[in-house]
Amino acid sequence: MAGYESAQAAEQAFYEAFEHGSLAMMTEVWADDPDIVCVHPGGERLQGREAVLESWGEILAAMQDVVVRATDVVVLGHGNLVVHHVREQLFVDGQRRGVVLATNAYRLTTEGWQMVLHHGAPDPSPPPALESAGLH
Amino acid sequence: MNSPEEARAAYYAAFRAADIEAMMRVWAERPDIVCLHPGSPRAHRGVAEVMESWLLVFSRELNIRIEPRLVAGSETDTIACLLTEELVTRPGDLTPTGSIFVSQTYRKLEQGWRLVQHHASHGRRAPPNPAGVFVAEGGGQSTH
Repeated sequence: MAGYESAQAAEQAFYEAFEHGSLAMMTEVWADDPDIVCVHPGGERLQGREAVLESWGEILAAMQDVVVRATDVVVLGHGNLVVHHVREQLFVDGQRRGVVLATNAYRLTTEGWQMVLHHGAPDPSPPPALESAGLH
Repeated sequence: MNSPEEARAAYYAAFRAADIEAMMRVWAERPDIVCLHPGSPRAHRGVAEVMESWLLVFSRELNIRIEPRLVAGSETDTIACLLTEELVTRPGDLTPTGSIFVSQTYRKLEQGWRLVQHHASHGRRAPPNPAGVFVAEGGGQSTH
């Protein structure tokens, strides 16, 4: 397992794994720690590596032509623990499909920076997508 | 507040009392604090926005009962990221039928431990199971 040079690099890898639908990449992102925890929007708490990666396996298998842009990032961190609050913008086939407001936490482990927490909440009132987006 | 646990206890005391002064004493006085309430379309940032958001929360009657449980956390000497699961009992229900997830970040600052980030979101809402008890643990499915 390879960690990352910074929390920012780990986050970039997290969203790349998402876009590529790659469980192998997602597996690298998460810390090998029984305390890791993941809450998908409106979902249950998934704790521990097995439960977290199993959920991502299901989600990533359905990923096709998905682009995720993390915007409005607030970085709160100190030393070996960094927390990002982000607005994830999801685009499918060039169409904006939704927004997830998320908290991501990263720790500097012996392997490098890795994700220890992901908490996503659906945005109940995303701004309307641009009419021209993705249309012919 | 000498520890993240103490600060978290102060948060729930302020929340239950709907005491805005106490709530803002829990928060760091920093421009980069961030607060997201369940169902809110965006996060509130900075002391003025965060305070305004809590004034709005406290202006409504809290008619649900919550039982917070600390379920996960990552801590160093100067920062802690904690996940709390709040079991929610709504009016007319005898037992919890849903949950709210709260991730919070506390920082050790000159004044002691303070809240710098709060993100609350609705979890699964389920009818009571046949035994009459909502089971928070378990295989709920969701997509990202």
